[in-house]
Amino acid sequence: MISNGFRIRLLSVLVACALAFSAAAADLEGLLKQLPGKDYAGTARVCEAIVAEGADAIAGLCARLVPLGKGDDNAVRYALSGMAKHVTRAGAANERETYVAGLVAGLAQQPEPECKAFILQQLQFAGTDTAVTAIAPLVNDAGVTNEAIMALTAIGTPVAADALKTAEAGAGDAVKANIGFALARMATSPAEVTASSVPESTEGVILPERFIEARDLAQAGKTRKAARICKELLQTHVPPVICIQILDLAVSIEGGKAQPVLMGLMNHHGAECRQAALTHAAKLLNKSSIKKWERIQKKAAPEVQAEIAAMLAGKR
Amino acid sequence: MSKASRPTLNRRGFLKTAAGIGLFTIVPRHALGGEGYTAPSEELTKAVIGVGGMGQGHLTMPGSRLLAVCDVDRGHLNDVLSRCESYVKGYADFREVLQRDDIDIVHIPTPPHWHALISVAAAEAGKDIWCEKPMARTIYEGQKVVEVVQKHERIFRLNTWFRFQGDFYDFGTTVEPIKKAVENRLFGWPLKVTVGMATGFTWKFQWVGRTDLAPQPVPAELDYEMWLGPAPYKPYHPHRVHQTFRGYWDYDGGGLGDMGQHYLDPVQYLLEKDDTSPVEIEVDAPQQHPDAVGTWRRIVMRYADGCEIIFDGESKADRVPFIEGPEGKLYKGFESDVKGLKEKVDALPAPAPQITDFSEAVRTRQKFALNESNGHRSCTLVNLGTIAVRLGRNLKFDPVAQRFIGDEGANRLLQQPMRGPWHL
Repeated sequence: MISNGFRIRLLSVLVACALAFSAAAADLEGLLKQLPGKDYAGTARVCEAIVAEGADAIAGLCARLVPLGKGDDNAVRYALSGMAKHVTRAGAANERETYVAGLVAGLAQQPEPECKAFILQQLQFAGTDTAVTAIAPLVNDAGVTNEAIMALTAIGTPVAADALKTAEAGAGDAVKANIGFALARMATSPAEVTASSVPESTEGVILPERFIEARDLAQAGKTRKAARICKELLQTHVPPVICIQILDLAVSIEGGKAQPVLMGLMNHHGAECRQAALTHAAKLLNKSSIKKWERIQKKAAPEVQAEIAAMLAGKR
Repeated sequence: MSKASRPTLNRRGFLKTAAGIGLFTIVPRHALGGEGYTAPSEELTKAVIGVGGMGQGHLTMPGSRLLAVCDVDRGHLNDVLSRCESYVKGYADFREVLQRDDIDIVHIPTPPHWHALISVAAAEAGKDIWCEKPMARTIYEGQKVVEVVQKHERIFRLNTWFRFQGDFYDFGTTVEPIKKAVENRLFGWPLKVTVGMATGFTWKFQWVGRTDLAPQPVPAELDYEMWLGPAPYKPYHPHRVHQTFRGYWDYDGGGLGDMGQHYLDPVQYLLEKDDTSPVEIEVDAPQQHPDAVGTWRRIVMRYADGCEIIFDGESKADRVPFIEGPEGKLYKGFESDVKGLKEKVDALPAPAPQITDFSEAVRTRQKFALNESNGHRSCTLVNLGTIAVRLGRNLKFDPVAQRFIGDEGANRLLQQPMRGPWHL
């Protein structure tokens, strides 16, 4: 027999839950009404608040997408695309993972190809390795094969590449060809290491596995292979903090022989990497390398010319 | 081995060699075929790919004979063919045009999402290229055009011209006297340049997209798949295609995409920034729709040396200097607070000469005034602007690596995957 007291308590809990749920729903509706944001601050405030509602709320928004021409879902599209931009700013790794988890859940429940395509386009923009498992089966879904391939291409990590290679086995000729083009692009334009794994300080930085391999090889005296890995890594879009560590390792292995590696950085890497390379180069200069640096200086972009000139100043 | 890399003497090779040994200057033209006659071997030939809106103007660009036209809309194609000489052949697929050995120059007045793909394919096929602005829809696509055009030693020109001819919109003069004043530092350095209504330029905010496009049947005459090409698939609506495509991010960037390179390329030339790009971009814009381009209020681009370009979309003030430096200002109509500016400018030597005749550039294999390299940099101004507007946030850019610093979202917009099977 249930007592009246218990009934009242149960009823109170249920009412409280219902009120909380409707308040959250009302909050979300209120947030959606503020979109499109009039400016960056306004948009960011709304996106931040929606992400704070969690992955379920984001999946719920995905469920409200309707195919073009079947209703006005612009508020939802502004919200989902606004969050994609908001969470890809520097230092927002946690928000990004919440957002991606929400999209992944939403993708699984969305039956409409046009809406799935829209979600995949947001993953193309903001997706991380977390989304790869959900996207991979869609590579062989005729309704969204292109969007799935484009999303994995943009994610661009080894995990995304592996997913494409796996999908290739079950693909028809046309999809196979598209996967081939995507893998070729990923090989020449690899993904950046995401901000989450690259703190501002080098302390605690998560280093690419290949770099750790190179460092271990160098320590074991296998310097030639270690140097080769360093060179390969420097061909990719590594963030400055990692680029600097690779350079340090390359120079410690090769000494003056690392000059060509340092020279090769001048036209394709950011200012911090270039500066690190030039700092090393200044210490390794000799008559022969000065001449090579002068030749590189002549062909370099104006900014780089000035940087090389500063490095060579007083060394000639 | 690709056709372009074969060491054979093709039509242009012959023309260049002939020009080199003076054939065309020693032999009077009338001796070859009478007064006003152009011998077929001397004549450059062209194809125009995309003959709708902008393509109409390219049909009659001087200096070459039209042999082929191409369009994915049969209506456009048939309309143009009905007005052409009978020897002009029509195509629905640009790849067939590029296979013709008798075509020297390929004009590319398609929507921008096709510019880089066709430019690269044309360069690989050994053609010289006259491409509409904006040069490419992404910064990466622009880099690829530069790389492939230079690899195959092609001559490339972009279809904007204000750095070397014509009144600079409503500014009130050509660019040349401004260049003379700037390069002689009559306003000092660094400079701030404002591009907006008050200085003579309108950002054409009518090129915004619609957010209510219900799918419609594709017209029988349009190959919509081919029109979309590398762009993501979106259901057909007439507002997406032809003149109004500018309002959709997948194909262009609104008024900024449409007019940006016309307005900004001369500014880049004035500021001596043909081989670099800004390091900071600040933006003030409302949130953008994921598909439809919207408006924006202000974009500021800052170079490493302190020079600034302000894209003024609001145009709140009536009188704003076009150029402002520590030693003077220049307003619309060449008005200035620098005493005797006009006289000073008249007394200055002309700026360095440029090759402004595309036929001459093709024959002599010299870079055209606005070519793939400086064109890529001025298109980068446009693309930096559209990325900043789409993201709504300020950005830092490395002009050497040509990547954003510390912003993965922005870097994903540098290089957007293409819809298969199209790829660069």
